[in-house]
Amino acid sequence: MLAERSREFFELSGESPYMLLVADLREPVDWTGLRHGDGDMLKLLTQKRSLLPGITHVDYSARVQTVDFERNPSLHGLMSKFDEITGCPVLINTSFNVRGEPIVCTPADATRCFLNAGIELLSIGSQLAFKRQQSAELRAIVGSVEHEPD
Amino acid sequence: MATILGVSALYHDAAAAVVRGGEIIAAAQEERFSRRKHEPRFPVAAIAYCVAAAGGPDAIDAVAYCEDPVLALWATARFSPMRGDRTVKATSTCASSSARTGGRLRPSCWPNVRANSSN
Repeated sequence: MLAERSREFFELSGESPYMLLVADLREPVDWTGLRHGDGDMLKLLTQKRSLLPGITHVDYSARVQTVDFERNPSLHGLMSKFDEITGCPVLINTSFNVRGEPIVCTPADATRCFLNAGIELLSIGSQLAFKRQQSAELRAIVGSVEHEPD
Repeated sequence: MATILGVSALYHDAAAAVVRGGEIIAAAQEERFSRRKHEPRFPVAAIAYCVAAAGGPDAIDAVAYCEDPVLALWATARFSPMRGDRTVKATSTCASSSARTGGRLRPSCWPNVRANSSN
């Protein structure tokens, strides 16, 4: 979440630079369908809850990371551009790993995870790599690792 | 300003951190380096990373450990009577001790162990 716009979306008075705080979403929250699951609990659970359904918890809160220019200029620039194009100053931040795997530590770990998971584009520093442009040789060099389900 | 290396090891999610004057200089979990989720082994790589970030071994004034190792050893040993001569080995394997304690941070015998050890 772009730090300077966080108050527009969340009930958050300060900053949350390390994604440690949970905050309620501000209006407009989409309340349509609440309490109406036609008896289907799964439908009730998975219904769209806000304009940002991917990050909205069942209680209409979200875990927020505020991104400011001072701490993280490159990500702030990326999110500003995304906001400019889409009108949405929020991105989903998920951990870079697959189930059962520790979070990637080195460029080699990152490349291995990228090639073996459903990731289309990898960015490391100033480098960009598209999955569809990667060779079989690279896949063979990087290999894959089996992870025990947690 | 004192620079302190903190270490957590031999139970689950081994990790290291360096603080200087209350500021966190570096922190890392061993699993990132060993590529084993919840790595319990002594966090050699995490320590190396944190110490390097602090400016090398000479920059470290003190080392802190996350718990009293003697109490922890007793707690685990007392909690695994079925293990016999393997109890000491069991203290250094996360998965087995974690399974026996049902995921709790301390076995239920912990208060007794504490009382015994301090007497």
